[in-house]
Amino acid sequence: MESADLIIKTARKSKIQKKDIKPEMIVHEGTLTTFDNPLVKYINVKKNFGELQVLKGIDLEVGYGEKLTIIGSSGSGKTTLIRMLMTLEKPSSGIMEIEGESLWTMKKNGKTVPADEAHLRKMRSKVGMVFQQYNLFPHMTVLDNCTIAPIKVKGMDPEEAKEQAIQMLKRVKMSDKINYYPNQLSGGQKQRVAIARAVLMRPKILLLDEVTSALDPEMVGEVLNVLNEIAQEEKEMTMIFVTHELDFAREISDRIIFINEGYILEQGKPESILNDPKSERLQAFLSRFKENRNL
Amino acid sequence: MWSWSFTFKVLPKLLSAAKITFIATILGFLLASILGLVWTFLKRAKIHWISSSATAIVEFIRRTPLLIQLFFLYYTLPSFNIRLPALTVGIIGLGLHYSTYLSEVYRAGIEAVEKEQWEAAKSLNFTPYQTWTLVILPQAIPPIIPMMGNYLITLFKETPLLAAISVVELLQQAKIIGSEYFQYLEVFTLVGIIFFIFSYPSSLLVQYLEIKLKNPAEKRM
Ligand SMILES: Nc1ncnc2c1ncn2[C@@H]1O[C@H](COP(=O)(O)OP(=O)(O)O)[C@@H](O)[C@H]1O
Ligand SMILES: [Mg+2]
Repeated sequence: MESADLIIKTARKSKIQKKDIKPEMIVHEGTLTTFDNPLVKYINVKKNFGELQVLKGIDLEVGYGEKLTIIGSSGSGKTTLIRMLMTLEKPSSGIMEIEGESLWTMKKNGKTVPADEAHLRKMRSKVGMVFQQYNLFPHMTVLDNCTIAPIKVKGMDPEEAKEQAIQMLKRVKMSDKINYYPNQLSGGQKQRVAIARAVLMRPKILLLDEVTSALDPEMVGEVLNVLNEIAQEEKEMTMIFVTHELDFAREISDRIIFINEGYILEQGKPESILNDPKSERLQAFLSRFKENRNL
Repeated sequence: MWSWSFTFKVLPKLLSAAKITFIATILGFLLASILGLVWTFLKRAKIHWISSSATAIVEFIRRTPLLIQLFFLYYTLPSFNIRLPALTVGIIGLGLHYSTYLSEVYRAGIEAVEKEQWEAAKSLNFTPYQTWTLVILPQAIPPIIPMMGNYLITLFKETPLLAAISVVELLQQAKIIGSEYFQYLEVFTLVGIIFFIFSYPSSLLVQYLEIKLKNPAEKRM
């Protein structure tokens, strides 16, 4: 009895260990993956939700002004990865840094202690996010949605904030709707306002999580066009996209990373990743997209 | 039996007592609204002993009769050397009791705000205070205004309990007049009518608000 138990236990253990071996990360030729002075750094970051281990060891550096796209199948942890940077989710272990400063810990009297709200707020001021479901404030007009945070959080003069907001809303082609409420807008219009609202805070890093996934197909184009322009114009703003719009990703990204089973499996320049995938997983992932497009 | 001359004679006296009823209603409800919000926050506190004691206190107040609470305040406060006019004690009692109901209403309103709104506020780096005052409460309060209105009407109808701690509000005044003249029919009928005149239109207003607030799109057009 005992020995049988032991065999089963050992077998289970080894199975788990086998599953947890980190796969070799495939880096395509000529890809910049480390920086002298990275803006964002993940070091062996793991995240579980209860029993479910979503991220199993993420190592990632992002440079200043870089446009990075994250791809991977649904449920692979893309959203979780960027939500941690917005401090909406806390990693289970590992280190995250923004401009060389730890996000989740801080120094206090020479000791490293968990970050307090003040530290998180300081770090958060460098990051902004656009959500899949827009998350505009429904009780505020388009203009108020765009000016409230600059005025209240950054202490900007209201007139100045309004001027900047109107300029920004022009860029996302929403300046004719500044006095509308969100529920009077289409999905594509809401998302363009949400983009304007996030960019107006001038974050160093802007996170965009599948910002066109909730839209009717005919509205995807207008949002991608606006994003494309902003990505071109905002050279200094680092942008991290999660998207399934691979043509868009090809056009705007400096680098694409492919997430699979909790690890970054492959990364490289857009052309190389999309035209010459090395791993079987990425090949399968991409061929699924090509099939869908031919439908 | 019914004397019109007596009716018109006592009406002014009753109306001036009605003033006390209204003062107790308005101030009691104001206190309940503020205190209710305080309970809601305390119950949500991250520190466990704060949230659990707030929950216990609120449950206790809600599960015991208002009349007992009024007696308790009225007769025990003086022994702590707190001497307040009966009306003030009455307002505190009403406010305290109804704050526990309103706290539940606030909770429902707050929980109805999408959790994504909290995340949007965080992504724009609002402080917790700004998140509450600029994002959450402005969305949580409008839908619960009808429910709050219902509690306002209920509180109004419970003000005669203050007679028990010698506040000369509408009912107490009616009793005094009645026993003075040994004539009760007119005074108590008038009291009923006065209560009805105020509570019925209020309930219609609440119904109207309920319909109007159900569709925020229309409100904003
Ligand atoms: N708050 C949460 N609680 C429990 N499970 C979660 C939570 N958030 C995400 N998950 C799970 O984590 C996995 C990865 O989710 P997500 O990061 O959203 O993936 P992706 O964005 O790549 O589709 C999914 O299986 C999802 O169900
Ligand atoms: Mg996602």
